Amino acid sequence: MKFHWFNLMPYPYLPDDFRQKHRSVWVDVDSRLYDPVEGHRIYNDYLDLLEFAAELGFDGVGVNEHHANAYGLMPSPALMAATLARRTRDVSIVLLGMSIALYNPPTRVAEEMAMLDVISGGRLIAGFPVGTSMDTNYAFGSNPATLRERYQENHDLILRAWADPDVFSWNGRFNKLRYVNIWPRPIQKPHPPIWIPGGGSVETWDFCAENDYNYSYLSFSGYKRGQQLMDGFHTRVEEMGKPFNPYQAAFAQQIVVADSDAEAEESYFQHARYFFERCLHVYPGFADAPGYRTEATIRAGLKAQVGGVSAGGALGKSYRECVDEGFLVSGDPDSVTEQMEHLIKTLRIGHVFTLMHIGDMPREKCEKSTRLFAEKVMPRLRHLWDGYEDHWSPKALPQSRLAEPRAIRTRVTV
Amino acid sequence: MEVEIKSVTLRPGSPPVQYYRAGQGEPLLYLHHIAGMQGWEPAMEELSKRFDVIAPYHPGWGPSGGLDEVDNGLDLVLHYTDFLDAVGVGSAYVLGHSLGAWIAAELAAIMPQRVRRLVLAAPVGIWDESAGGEDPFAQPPMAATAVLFADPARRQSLVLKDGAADPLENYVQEMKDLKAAAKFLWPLPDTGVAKRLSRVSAPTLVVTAERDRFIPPAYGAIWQSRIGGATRASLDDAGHLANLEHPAEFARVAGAFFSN
Repeated sequence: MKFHWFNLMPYPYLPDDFRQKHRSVWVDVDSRLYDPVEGHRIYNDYLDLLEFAAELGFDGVGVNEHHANAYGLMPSPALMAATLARRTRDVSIVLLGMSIALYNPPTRVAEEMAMLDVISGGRLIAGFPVGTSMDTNYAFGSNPATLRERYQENHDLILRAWADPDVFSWNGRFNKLRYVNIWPRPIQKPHPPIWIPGGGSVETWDFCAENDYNYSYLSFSGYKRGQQLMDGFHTRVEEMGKPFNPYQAAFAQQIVVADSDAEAEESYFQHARYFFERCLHVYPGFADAPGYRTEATIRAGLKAQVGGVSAGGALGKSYRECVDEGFLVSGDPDSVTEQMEHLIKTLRIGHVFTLMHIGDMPREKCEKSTRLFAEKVMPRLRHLWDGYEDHWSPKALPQSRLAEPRAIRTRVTV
Repeated sequence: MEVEIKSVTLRPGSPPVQYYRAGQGEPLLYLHHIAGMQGWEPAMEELSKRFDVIAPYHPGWGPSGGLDEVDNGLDLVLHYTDFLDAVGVGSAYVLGHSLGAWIAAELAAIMPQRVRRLVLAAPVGIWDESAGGEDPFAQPPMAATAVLFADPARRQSLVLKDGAADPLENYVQEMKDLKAAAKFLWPLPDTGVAKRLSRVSAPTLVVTAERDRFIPPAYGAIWQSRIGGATRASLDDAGHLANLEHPAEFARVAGAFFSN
């Protein structure tokens, strides 16, 4: 069983009356709420937390892409992955990922991911999200009527740009390039493992199953609501006659570990409420641009991932309700171990994205929870999928071939 | 009057165009708004008393397929040129509404011999920073077209038929129609038609609706100023879908201009 430490990088100073005074945390969120001087400290705290998790033995550290979003301060996830590539040595860099439909031309993605794979010594996981409607259609202006076709073409172009050793031309519907020839090329051959973060699109299951990609279901609704989607994926794999492998599936879960259940509630739950109440406050008109979801997905009755959460979700629920309904995995180490084992077995996943920094949680609390998870929970779950081989983790260079980055030193006064 | 939907195929292998046709008189091509048609509508019925009304679903809207085959205004102009040929009409009065007004204006600019007189109702296709207009694609999902009415409550009776329409089916259809509209109008409704409007030679009437939140009335003067000799009319107590809110008045204004 593998564990990745993920940070959404929320802005922690949204005001108490945010829900009343603002219609959305995303797309048209008021930029005057953002203080870049605080932002300086926040970015560094968040990156420190990712490095801290790497030291504690998590398998990967994860970043992702959002735009015009006060709970996801990584419009350029590759920048974050780049600093992590230099400041860590033996964890996967889970770039989950770059919204490949947004890059024009998408050879940019092939180039930047190849750079990251080379800098990190072959530790990159390449995430190819479609991206939410808020990010792709509203904030970035990509046309929802053609987003999925563009995604598909960009995917095909990036794959070929990595794999084809010769210069080639690309005459696509959305991209026309006379000379495709990226430098550098990735260390991992033919390319870094590809993970597809999905919201609730049925097409994503088939895409992952057909291509042997990892399906990563990202939601904030917790594992009990995630069951239907994860089952849907496993079923498609089975229907295609492919073998079940838990490592082909990943799930994101918000987790709190404290010394006691009482501490988890009293000290930590306020930060989850900040997240549910302020960070998931999305104007429903931005949840789902016309054409963003296919007719099949609409008919399958699946809620757009954030719109659904925003509409119902954990809002106004008590600590106990949030834990019972799976929005939060929370409690003392024994209880969290038990909850995680249940989650891992029912969803049949070999990778979990532990969302341990939640909302406006201060760094010290997050470090404590992360340490408890690493020391008292993770070791007791490691064995769960013994016997299955993980084909979806990076194949890094051996330690002997990894470069050693120079330590940071302050300026020497001469 | 019940009018049966008809179907015509423009090219071998292309998805058929679904359309209505009824009435007596000179041909009138009716090009619908961003959210499609509610079947044979009362405004069409009214116009059909004096004209041979031909009302097709644009490719990708309603039961018409073929969105993949049209990428821009020129494709749509050629589509409608072929359509007029297929239904045996040389030139027509053209009533374009909303996105349909954009297509009508392109047709008049590029194929002037096919357009005898032109009515552009709540025309879409020019974005003006100061005139602005609400985003029709950023609306609460289950009430996506409410913004298109002067009184959003009218959507309940006019689109949802006071509960007779299945809300999920209606939602799926609205998303499909608006997706097709988004293909041409995302992220801003600027189609570049402005630079071609000086080519329009057909007598033209620009109609705006007083309470249109998508295409505010200020756009009336902008369109009028770019089309030589164009005149203007305005509809009271109507939003973008004035054809549904006040069908008789909508038909009267257009019909009077064509009969002129």
